Amino acid sequence: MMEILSALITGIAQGSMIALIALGYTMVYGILKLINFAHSEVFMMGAFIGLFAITALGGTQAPLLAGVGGTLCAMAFAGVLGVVVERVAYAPLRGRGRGLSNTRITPLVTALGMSVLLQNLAQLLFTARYRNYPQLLPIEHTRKVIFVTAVLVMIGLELFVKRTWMGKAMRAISMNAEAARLMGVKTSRVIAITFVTGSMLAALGAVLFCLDQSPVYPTAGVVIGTRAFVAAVIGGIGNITGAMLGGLLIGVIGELTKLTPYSGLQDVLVFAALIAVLLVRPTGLLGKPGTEKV
Amino acid sequence: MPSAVQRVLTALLLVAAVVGLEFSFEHIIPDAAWRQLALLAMVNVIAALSLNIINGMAGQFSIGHAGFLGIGAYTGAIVAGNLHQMLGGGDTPFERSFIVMPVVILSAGLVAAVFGFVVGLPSLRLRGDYLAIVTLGFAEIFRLVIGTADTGGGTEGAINQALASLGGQQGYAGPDGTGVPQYAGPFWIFGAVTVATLVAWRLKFSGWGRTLRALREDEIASAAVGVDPTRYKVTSFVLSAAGAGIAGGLMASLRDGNPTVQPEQFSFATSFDAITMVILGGSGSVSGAVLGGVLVTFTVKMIEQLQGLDSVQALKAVYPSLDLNALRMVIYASILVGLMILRPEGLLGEREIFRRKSRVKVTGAGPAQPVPARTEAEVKAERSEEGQAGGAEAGGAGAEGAGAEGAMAKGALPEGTAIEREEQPLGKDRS
Amino acid sequence: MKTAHPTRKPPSTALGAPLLEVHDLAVAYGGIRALKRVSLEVRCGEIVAMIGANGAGKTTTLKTIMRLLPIAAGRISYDGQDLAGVATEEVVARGVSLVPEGRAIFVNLTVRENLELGAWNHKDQRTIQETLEDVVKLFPRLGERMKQEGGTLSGGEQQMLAIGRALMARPAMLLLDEPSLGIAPRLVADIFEAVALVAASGTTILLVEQNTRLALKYSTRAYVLRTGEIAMSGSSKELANNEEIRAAYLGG
Repeated sequence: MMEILSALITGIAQGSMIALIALGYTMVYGILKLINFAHSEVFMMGAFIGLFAITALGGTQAPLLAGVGGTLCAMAFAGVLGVVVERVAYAPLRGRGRGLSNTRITPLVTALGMSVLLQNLAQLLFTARYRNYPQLLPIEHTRKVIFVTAVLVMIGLELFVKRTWMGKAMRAISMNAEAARLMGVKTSRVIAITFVTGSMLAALGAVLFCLDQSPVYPTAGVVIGTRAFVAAVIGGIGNITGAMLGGLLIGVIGELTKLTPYSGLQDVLVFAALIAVLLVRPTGLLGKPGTEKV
Repeated sequence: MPSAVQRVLTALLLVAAVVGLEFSFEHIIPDAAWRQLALLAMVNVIAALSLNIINGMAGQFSIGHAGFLGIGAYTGAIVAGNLHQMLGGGDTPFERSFIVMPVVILSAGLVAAVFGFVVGLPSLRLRGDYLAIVTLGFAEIFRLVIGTADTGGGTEGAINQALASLGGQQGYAGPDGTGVPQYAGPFWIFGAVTVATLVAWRLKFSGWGRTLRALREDEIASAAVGVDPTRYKVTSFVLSAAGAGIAGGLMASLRDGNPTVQPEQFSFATSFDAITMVILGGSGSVSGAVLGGVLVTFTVKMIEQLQGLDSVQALKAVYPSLDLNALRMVIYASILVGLMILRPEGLLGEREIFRRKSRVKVTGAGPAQPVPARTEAEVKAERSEEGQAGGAEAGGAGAEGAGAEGAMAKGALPEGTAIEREEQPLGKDRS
Repeated sequence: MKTAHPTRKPPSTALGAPLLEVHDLAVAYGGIRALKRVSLEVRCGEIVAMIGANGAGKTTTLKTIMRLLPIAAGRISYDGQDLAGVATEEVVARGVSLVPEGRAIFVNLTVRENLELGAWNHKDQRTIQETLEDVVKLFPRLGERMKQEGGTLSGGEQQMLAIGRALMARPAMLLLDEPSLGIAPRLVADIFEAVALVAASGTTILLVEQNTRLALKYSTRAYVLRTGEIAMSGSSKELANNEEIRAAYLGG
């Protein structure tokens, strides 16, 4: 019983981190209807930069400064990286090849290309070695910090999207990009801000994730990124609350499978859950049905 | 239209060429590594051709093609391995391949087709990206299940034991662990590519292919004229999976190839490569898929060859930590992203390298140029499109404008224009 | 009844002088020439209608003016300035607003949010509030539905919202694409009366409308578009009496 309870707590902490990363997928999809496969690599790069910054700022010598400073550094870097990815791989394709049937497939290929590129770039720059973050906080505190941070960020993001002009512009673009332009909204700017926000959240998630005793390595993004992506889809891609819900679900499922002898099948279960949810609710748990265009 | 005699002659010529290749291949390409690469490229072409059915013709998006390839490869490897043992093991003579390979190809194709049917079924309810995610999920589940099977002994239950016999991460190397027999020589590989290309070509220009494209352009309009979208989509998944399964089966028993099949060979990277081949060549184009398959296989190899260059080796000597494999992938990915941005529609678009001889069938209202024969459904679909666009001036010259407005409203070109595009010869740039 | 609807930035063009000039415009779309050669002008303070069958290129013309579609050949100038190389957002900022075909309202945003987005280029809350009041005066139905999501409105109300949203930018020139499409006849009259009021307050209007009778009734001049070319033009009264027009578009 205690085991299950502790697994639930770990699962919720894990899940809220996954949710932070899932937000990036969801926000970009909401606006561009594009699965940003390079997002998991932004997460991984953020984790690396976070590690370097935390080490540079003194690590365990000055846990507060290193923790906060390192996180901010990682977020700033990831924000820039996110925009670079968007400008290099996605922006040039927008508005081109209008009317051709593969207008939505081509960006997916460049997205996958960017993902492969960044992953190998990390390997080239940082080598394939597994690296661990210094222990800045005792582990029970780390989990609390993770959970509280994630919840605060979710609330903040919800307010940002619902209340601010920029948030309204984002929602407008996701509903009808052309109409938003006709209102005078500079869509490329809004898209850039979406990428910055999503990438910064991914970096935040990355630092929290690694503080929770997870190593960072060039392919770290693949495993976590895939789970986050699945979380976004299960919750209803394009839906911010859905990402949170999906993240928690994935986190808890993952931790609960660890209690069974089939711990190796964690990701199998994650994908099975995904397919099951999609078959019952084709647009995810909180996704709006019927908004997907043919 | 070629006469029957011409057809038979062409077929005989092709067979002769393929048989000739089987015996002269080692003389044509003396280097074993290059030989292997050439065969691998052909297998990749089959994979690309099969993916092209879903991604190019049907306008669906599969990002889990590696799953079908993997199922085909494992099926093929098991069948070939056991059959080989039954036949007494030992060498893999050419005569015996006529017993083994047909069984391998059939079983790999069939098993993959069954899975294609299962994966295609959700297309009843899911569209676009969501369906793509399901294909990815399926491929990942396949890879993870095989990869995580417990091989350390102490497994219980028939399923667990069956999975464990596949070797987990180490891979499957035949029933006795000595490697999958490599029966697929140039005859089988080139023969399969030829047949696959012909089949893909026929499919594209058949009534079925046209209906599929009509569905891709406007599902609602097509459904309105009595086309059952689900049936067509599921069929396209089944056909595509069967093709991929065959490619996987060939891959497993590829001469000079890797004698074990491993789950990691069928990771997301493999699906990515297949997508790259299709999109790079030009999605929907048969010759594009062939071109893409060859190009991607060789580009990867070329960049690998660069590692042998003196300057690169010198660099490696200076920076011992330099990861050449990572560098290779960085270059590959950069080239790919660059190409996609320069030519988002792929190298060929939806056109073909060889201009198809159009079967002339001029209709009264149609334009004065030759138009390819159309199926009833397609013509209906077109009509309904024009009807949607108002139809006041749909016929004759007015169709041009109507098409444009209709396309704008839906963000897609009407079917008629897609056909015109195909008929355009290479070299003439439209923009 | 007088609805004050001051334009944000009065054009430098004098009343009666050409405000929008389209010269030999050609537009290609996915390999098809949607517009072959279109020339037209709209003078400051006019209501000009563009009529023609579906597919003639009316929507293409409006979208190209808004710079949503690339110009293949020809020239568009607004208020004396060339619009080549100008982004859509900038065209809006210069004072041209389009009410798109099919209304294109933001279905999951409330009516108020839809209207507020229309005023994207205005950051002054007081101006926005005043404009909002003007729009509600023009379309009282919208005032009753402020908190509803746009998608829950009826077709006619959505059209009112789309027009209101465009007016929130306080445009000097308003482009309307098929405002009567799919709307209950009772509301069509309301909408056209409102458009007339907007015009009376000094906004120049270019109206695309398939309902030729209505278009000619409310406009001063009109152009007839046929397969990407201007087939005829003249004062709306003349055109309404033209035999060919009557036969082709007015049903005898």
